[in-house]
Amino acid sequence: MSSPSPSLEELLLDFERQSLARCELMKELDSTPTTLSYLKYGQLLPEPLKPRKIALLTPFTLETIRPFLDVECYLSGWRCDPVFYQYSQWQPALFDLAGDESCDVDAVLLLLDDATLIEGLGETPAKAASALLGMLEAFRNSSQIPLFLGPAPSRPHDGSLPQTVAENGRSLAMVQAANSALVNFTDKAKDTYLINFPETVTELGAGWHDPKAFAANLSYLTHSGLRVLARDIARTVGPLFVPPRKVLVTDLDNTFWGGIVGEDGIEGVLLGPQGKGAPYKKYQQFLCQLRETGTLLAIASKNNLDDARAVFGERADDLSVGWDKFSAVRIDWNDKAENLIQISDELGLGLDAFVFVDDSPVECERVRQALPMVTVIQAGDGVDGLPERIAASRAFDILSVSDDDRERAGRYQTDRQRSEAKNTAGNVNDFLASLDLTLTVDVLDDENRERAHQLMNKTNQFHLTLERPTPVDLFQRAEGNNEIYCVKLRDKFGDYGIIAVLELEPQDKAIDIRNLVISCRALGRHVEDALVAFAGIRARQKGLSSVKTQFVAGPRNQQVPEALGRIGFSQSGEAEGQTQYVLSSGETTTSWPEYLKLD
Amino acid sequence: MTRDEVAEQLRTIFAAVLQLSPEAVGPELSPDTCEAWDSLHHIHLMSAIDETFGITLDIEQQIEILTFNLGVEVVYEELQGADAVGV
Repeated sequence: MSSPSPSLEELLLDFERQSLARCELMKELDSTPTTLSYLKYGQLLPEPLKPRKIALLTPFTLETIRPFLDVECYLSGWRCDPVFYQYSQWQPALFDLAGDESCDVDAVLLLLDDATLIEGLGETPAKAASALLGMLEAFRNSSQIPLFLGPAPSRPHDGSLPQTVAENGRSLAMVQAANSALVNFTDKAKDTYLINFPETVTELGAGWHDPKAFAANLSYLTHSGLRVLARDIARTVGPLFVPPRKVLVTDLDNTFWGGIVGEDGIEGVLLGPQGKGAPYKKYQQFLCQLRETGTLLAIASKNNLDDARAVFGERADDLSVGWDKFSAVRIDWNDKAENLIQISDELGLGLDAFVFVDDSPVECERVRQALPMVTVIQAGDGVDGLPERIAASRAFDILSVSDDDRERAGRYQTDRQRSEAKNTAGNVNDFLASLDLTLTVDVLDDENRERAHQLMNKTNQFHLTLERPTPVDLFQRAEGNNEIYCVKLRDKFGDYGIIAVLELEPQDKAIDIRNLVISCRALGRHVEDALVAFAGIRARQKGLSSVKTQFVAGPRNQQVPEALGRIGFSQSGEAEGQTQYVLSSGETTTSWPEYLKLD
Repeated sequence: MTRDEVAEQLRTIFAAVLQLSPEAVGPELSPDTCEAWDSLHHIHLMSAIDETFGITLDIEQQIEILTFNLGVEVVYEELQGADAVGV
């Protein structure tokens, strides 16, 4: 007899099943998006997530967003510790935050309203836009804190704004000019992003605006308006702290195409832009977009391999995603959970970075039960609305698309070639020597810091401390005494991009490898050996006599102590959950891997 | 909806918003007797009342709700008014 399904309340407290808890809570709130629901579930949320301090600067009162923010941020996988400012204080607060070097705020949000843009910034549209830009540039030039800007939605006319036609025209021009200035600023300025609140509220019609609320408590948002704003904040700011999933594994029959190829035949499956094939085409186009933003695609399908391959060959013109666009493929009659584990091994990526899409409720349930860390999305009949549901799951929310993201899928393609070369090489050393591996070590700068932040926050396997610093943390440390390096790797097959971040802290007598993070795509190349040798070189250049480091154990970084031992480190102590290591007998010299060149 | 039915539903709302047990929501519960009933929670209470009963209380009515019992009166009267105009 099967055990009864756990209630949502039980799921929320089950740390192993948070992925499912989030899906179920999302469904519950979609059907009952009331204030009471948000208050109820806000009280049941688990606490283990690190709170992220977000300064909310608004020329109106926003404190009532709190319960919505709590729940929406949980749904996006992070916890918000909002700091509210008095509505009249947003301008001085922006200056104060910019000037405060010891500020521990993780992000600043500035959300504007139309009344402020019309009345508070200048007499003409040009003056209003210029005043706003001046403030933003002053902030950006003196602070590294990520800044999120929300243009002002235009309120439905409620009598509180100027009434004459001429004045209405002027008001509209003021809001448009200031909003445009703000959007243009986010395009150009670093670490500055847009919260597209005016577009979001259109889903509510006029239902986001509450004139009576402004009179009562200086807010102008209804609870529906607060809810969608909280959702936007959670989803837009969240990727600063929560990496997106990296792999989408799709079923084929009745998911990637309509029908069952084993029964309907190659010509019988539904594909193409028109008719019943159209929703499948739309899903494939969505997969294409995901791939272009750095998501790897894979197939897990119960089918005869030859049948499935034949569809990709003979119906290629009807498909938007070709066979070569998949980074891993399992088409057989094996258990899908087992196949997902194999794909995870093959790609070197943890299962918590996986999203699994399948039309079969049985397969979905099997994966949910066996692999609770995987985000499971069941395709509905005819896959109508499937892309929208995958997007709404927030699994692939990203802050911006880096060059590294765009090149990722292609790199995994190159990895397949490397794998083939490895299989034909005599032994591992012959294989590594045949690759012509070259390392480039660059100091952290504006060009590479986005990738450095991404690596430190996404990497689980080779990560010395599992510390997840914000971009601000990184820069503050680099501007201080620490040396932070971004390391690139290339070989005869291509460029791996930036694959490691090394942080060195020179101390009295030793150089401390404060952190070393290596992407899974570069594991097995002995990059760690080379970077410890590099740390030794820096120690000697600075007249320091030893090299030390520390390790914090996590669920998946067990290979780190093994590597430290191989390189020559031995344990020197334990403190505050860290195991300390030092190079044996105060050495600073370790051997440089002979098949790795330094550029 | 009878006055008692309104009171029962309101009790559930007050308990949920103010994080009290339903038994702790007495007729004279007010911002003076309940620390959690601050201005922010008053706004959440009003919103939850609007959503649950399908009404829109105006500012005067919202300000009038100074105790649980006054809440019952205001909501009951509003519902009677809505019934009278066939809403």
